[in-house]
Amino acid sequence: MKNASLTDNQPPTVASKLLSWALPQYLVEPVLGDLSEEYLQRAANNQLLKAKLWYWRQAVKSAMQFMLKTQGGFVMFIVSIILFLGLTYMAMDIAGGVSMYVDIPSVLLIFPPAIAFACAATSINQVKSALSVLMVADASKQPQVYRSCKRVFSVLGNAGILLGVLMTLIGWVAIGAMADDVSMIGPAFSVSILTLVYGLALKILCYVAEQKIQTLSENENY
Amino acid sequence: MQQQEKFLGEFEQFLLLSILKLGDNAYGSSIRQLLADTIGRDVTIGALYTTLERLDKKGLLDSHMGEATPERGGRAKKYFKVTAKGQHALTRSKRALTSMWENVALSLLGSTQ
Repeated sequence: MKNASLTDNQPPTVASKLLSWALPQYLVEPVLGDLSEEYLQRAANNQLLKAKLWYWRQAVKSAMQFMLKTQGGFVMFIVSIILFLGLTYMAMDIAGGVSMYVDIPSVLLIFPPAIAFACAATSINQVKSALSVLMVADASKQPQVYRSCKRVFSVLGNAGILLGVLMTLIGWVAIGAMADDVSMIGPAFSVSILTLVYGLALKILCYVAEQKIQTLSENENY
Repeated sequence: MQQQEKFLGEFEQFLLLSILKLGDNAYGSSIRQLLADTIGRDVTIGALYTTLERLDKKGLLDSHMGEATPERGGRAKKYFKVTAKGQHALTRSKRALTSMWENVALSLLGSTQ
């Protein structure tokens, strides 16, 4: 019972993590400490739910206040990705429906091999580190960390586009082999091109990620 | 040159005055609570620290890290103190406001004050 009440009296973890992520490093300790202190005072007055709501409100509003300053690059990166995906979806929809652009075998031919090539050319840890650098947008790493992160996205993007070209060519060879059945050529051509589309989409995302890391590395001494 | 210095904003003045009132116990949470109790202004901790940081950069405040306590999850407090420059800026702003209020008559609901 006592343990349960102690656990309940802890400030909401997700809210604290959100705030830690958004705050500048030197403010994490005083700000979270202040919030924790006031939260416990509120929770002690048998107003646990109100205290939790209050903590969430403080954390979200404060995070919003600092997010653009500390994580502005990451926020812009996410916004650009959402915009890119949204516009791509719209283009597909206008062109005749999204379903004709979805082909699971083509997805499997591009993404898993490209990720495997990136892991093989660098290492699994470097791939994880590249994603973490991109998420946290921390401009205080060593130059070699940025270089290895850039390499991860470079290999991933290039492997994606090259795989797309290769798979498309394989598809065209198959189309050529059955050219006597004209009715099959259209759908087969369409599917074969999809791998190139997926590869190109992956390359675009990796290019932006690579440039983002380049910017971070240039801001390192800022 | 002195005349071109900007005056403090309303919230900046509230913060500096709170810190002066709290003396050695001026840190984020105590400042926030004083503002809520005294002028009924419930500010977020983010807004508070944004302004405190700005005042610190202007040299109107000094800050130092204090002790960590269990009720703060083992985190240290950041104490603030108004510098001489901060006190001077407050005095200037108060003087400017007082001068502006001189000979001002407000007419409220038809009556003259």
